[in-house]
Formats: sequence, structure tokens, C-alpha cells
Amino acid sequence: MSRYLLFRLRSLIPVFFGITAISFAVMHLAPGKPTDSITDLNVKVSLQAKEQLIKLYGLDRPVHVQYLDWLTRIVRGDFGRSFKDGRPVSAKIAERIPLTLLLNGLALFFILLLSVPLGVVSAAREGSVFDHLVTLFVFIGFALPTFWVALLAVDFFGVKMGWLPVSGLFSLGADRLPLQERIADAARHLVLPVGVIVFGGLAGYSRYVRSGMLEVLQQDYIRTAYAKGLKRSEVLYKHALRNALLPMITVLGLSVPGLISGSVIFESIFALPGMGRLFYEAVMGRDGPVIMGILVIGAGLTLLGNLIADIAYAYADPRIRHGEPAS
Amino acid sequence: MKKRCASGMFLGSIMLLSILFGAALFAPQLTGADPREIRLEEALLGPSWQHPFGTDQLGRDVYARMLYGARVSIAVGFVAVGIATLLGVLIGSVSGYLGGWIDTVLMRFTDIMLCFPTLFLILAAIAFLGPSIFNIMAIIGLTGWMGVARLVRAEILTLKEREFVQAARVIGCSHPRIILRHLLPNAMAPVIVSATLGIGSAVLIESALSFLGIGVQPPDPSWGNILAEGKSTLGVAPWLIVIPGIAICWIVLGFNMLGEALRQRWRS
Repeated sequence: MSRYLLFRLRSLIPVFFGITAISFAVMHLAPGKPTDSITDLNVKVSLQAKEQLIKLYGLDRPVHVQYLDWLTRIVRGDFGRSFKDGRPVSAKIAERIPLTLLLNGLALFFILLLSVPLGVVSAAREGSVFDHLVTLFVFIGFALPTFWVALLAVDFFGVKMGWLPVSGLFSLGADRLPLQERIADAARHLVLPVGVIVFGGLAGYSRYVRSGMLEVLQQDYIRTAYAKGLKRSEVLYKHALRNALLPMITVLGLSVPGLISGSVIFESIFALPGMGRLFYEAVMGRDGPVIMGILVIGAGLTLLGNLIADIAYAYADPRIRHGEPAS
Repeated sequence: MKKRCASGMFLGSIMLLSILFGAALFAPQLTGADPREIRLEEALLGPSWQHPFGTDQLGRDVYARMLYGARVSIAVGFVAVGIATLLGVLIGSVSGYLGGWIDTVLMRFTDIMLCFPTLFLILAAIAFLGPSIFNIMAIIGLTGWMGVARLVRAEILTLKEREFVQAARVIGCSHPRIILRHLLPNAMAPVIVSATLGIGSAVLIESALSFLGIGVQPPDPSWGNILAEGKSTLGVAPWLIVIPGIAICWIVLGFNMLGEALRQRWRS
């Protein structure tokens, strides 16, 4: 197991350097200097000050020197300072990332809670009315623009019915409430965003569970289990489901970039101060250091997700743990 | 049973898509209105005989904007997927056919690209390059080739050891000829399926970008920006949100059903 872990960790190193290179390249794609956004629109900045700024950020040096310099700093956790307010990028990201993780963690939990039974039942009754309904739901779920669903949900549950708050994380004046009520208040604010993310993700996951189950149900050991006279529910949930869920571990790992992508949209709609919203603000303000920092962190989270998925897979499946590492 | 389901899905998708392409193709014949003509005195009218889908906050005819917007949305989908597919096929086939260190480097690059939350990369690139229609198509394409590359590589790896390829090599075919004439035609089925499914997701990405304000820019109509412009008047003019949303769902559903039908047909 430790050999496998070591092998996986070592293979991450070149990928990490690739991630930093691409993040850096995206920033330097644009014509002009990244500092133009601070200087060009501001009449008070003299040419001299502009050159000073360029010197301060090291933008007068060759690109590869800039990259290496930036790389050595981010390895030590220093992502530079924001163009907008001069605060360290790492601090800005650190205060925004917990909400994004909480939002997506909650959403994933509920997606799994709902999609596993949906997938299992529709696979166990392949071709039934229920199965067709689930398939129909999956097709429509894939085709719906998630932000559209979010808008309609905001309009209906928030504005027309007035059941739920539609923006922000806390109500006005919530900081004066006792802790328990503050948590309840935040939870009420999270119902709509989490609900919409769950709705958007449900289609994909229930489809994976269904196809995983269908494959497992054709195996010989399932027939053996039935032949032994085991109950249907026992065969389904004890013998089949556990094996059908194995590939889901990998799917979960691979879903990290999609979830983080979605956070840009959902955090904008619901005015939640998470990392996605920070990225959107940075992009609109052309805040280079923040953009590069979040690109690296976002891709790093994907790496971490894949790594955790691989370890979990090796833990769950002895064939991987004891065999030779694949590829 | 399965076959009937697949052909039903095929017919359904053809119906959805032909209505759509008809609307895009015959937009000038289907409406007399100019999609860009502003008439402030007719702003936010509900659906009526004169304006079947109502008017927006600038008094433009939404029916005309939807018809012309179909052209933009379809074009974005096709061009973006075209770019992604070409790149993916190129990278996947070179990687799979040549193998060795070239394969290692290209596949590592693919892995790295897959790590990025796509929307982040697209947002950053468009913010710096500017949201012209061309940039949007190109960037959606440039960030969407990885799946195709992996598919093609896997197909080429299994095909290149087959006898007909060895025969081609023995009679002295050049490498490009073996890839283009012998390998790729046999690897096309999954590529076409994934391209078909990709068109739907490209349309979804464009609409999400428009929603964030950096998609296709007004006054050019796209379904995404009609929807985005409608979000400020959601309470008084819900048709500005509902109609483009249904249209986006329609096109994505059409292409997804077509892709699924093709997949099931080619599998058997």
C-alpha cells in the first residue's frame, strides 16, 4: 500500500508543474502588461509610476525568469499580492475556499444519498416504467442549463413564495444572534444553492450507478447468490451494490473540476462569498495574481480529489492494492 | 426492445433538430421583424399575435431574436466542437500511433488540462482576449479536446496491432497514410458520438458565459444573452427567461438524444 501511495505521489510532481505553467501562460496570453488594468484607466498614474509598478511586479524581466520566480514563491505558499487591494492572494483565497468546499461537499452528500437508490432501483427493474422515468429525467437533467434552473428556483421559492432567502449566507443583523440561530440562518440560506447543485448533478450520478449495477448484475456470482436462495434485496444491496459502487469512487474524484466550475455560476447567482465568486470578481477586474492563484488552487484541488479517489479505490479493492501499479 | 428504444430516440432527435435547423435557416422568412430594432415604446410587451414571444426591455421582438439567435448558438456549438474534435483526433492519433516518449508527453499534457475546472480556464482566457464570437468558439474548442484525444488514442492502440494495419505497413504505406486511411476511419464511431454530445455542452457553456456577461455580446442575439438580459426583468417579464431556457434545453436534448441513439446503434 505504501509503495502504491509513493508511486502515485511521485507521478503528481510533473503534473503540478504543468498546472503552474498553464496558469502562468493564460495570464500572459493577453496583449499588454497585466498591470495595464491598474494604470491605463487611472489618469492620476503618471508614466513614471507605471514603470515603477511594472518594476515592482518584475514585469520588465524575461518571461521565463518571471515564471521561475513566481514558481519558487508559490511552492512556498506565497501567491503574491492582489492588484486590487494589495492583500496577499493566499489570504484572500483561504477566507473564501471553506464556503465553496462546504457547498460542494453538502451537494455531493445529497447527490449520493439520492442517486444511489435511484440508480439501483432502475437497474434492478430494467425496462420498467420507473426505469423509463429515471432515464427521461436523466436526459432532461443533462439538457437543462443549471443557472436557468437556479433562476427559476430563486423566482419561485424565494420571490413568489417567499419561503427561502435567495442571496448571501447570513440575514441582515445575524451577527447579533446566538450561535445556534446563526447556524440555522446560514443553513436556510444554503438550501436553495445546494438544492440546485444537487438537482444539476443528480442526472449524471444516477446514470453511473445504474450502468454500474447493470454490469454487475450480469456477473456469475450474482446468479450464484440467487441460486443459493438469498433474498433479492440481500443480493442487490449486499452483493451487487458494493461492487457497483467501486467505479463511483473514481467518478467522484473526476467530478471535482466540474463542481468547482459550477461554483462560479452558483456563487454569482446566490451572492455567496466563495472562491468561485472571488475568481469571477478577479477576472472582471483583471486581477492577475488572484486569477493565477485560483487556477493553481482549483487544479490542485482536482489533483487532490483524484489522489483521494485512487487511495480510496486501492483501500476498497485489494486487486489494486496488491497488484502492480497500473500504467 | 433496446433497438426500438434507440430508433425512437433517433427519430425524436431528428424531429427536435430539424425544427431547430429549419428555424435557423429560414429565420428571415419566418419573421418580418428586425432582431436588433429598438422600439422603447414597445418594451416588455407580453406574447401577442404581433410579437409571439413578446418584446424585451428595449422593445426588440423576442421571436425574431430567438430565430436569429439560433444561428449564433448553432454556429458556436458546431465550430467549437469542430476545433475540439480536430485537435483531439490529431493529438490522440499521434500519441497512440507513435507511442514512446511522444505518447507520454502528450498524455501528461492531456492529464494536466483535465485538472483545470474548464469554466475557470475559459473565463480567464476570454477576460484577457475579449469576448468576440470567434474567441468564444476557439476557447471552448481549445479547452474541450481532452476526452476525444483519450478516446482516439485508446482506439488506435487496439487497432494498430491488427492484421490489416500490419499489411498496410508491409506494402510500404507511409505513417500519415496508415493513420488517415486505415486507422482513423475505423476509430470514427466513438468520435462522432462524443462530438454529437459535445455540441450540446458547447451550447450550454456559451449560455453560461453569456449569463456571466462575457459570452456573445449584444446586440448580436444568442440564446444565452437573451436569457441573461432577461434576468433583470424576471418578475415582470418571465417569458424573457422561460423561452430561451426552453430553447437551450431543446437543442441540448436534441443533440444528446442523437448521440445516444448513434452510440446504441454502433454498439450492436
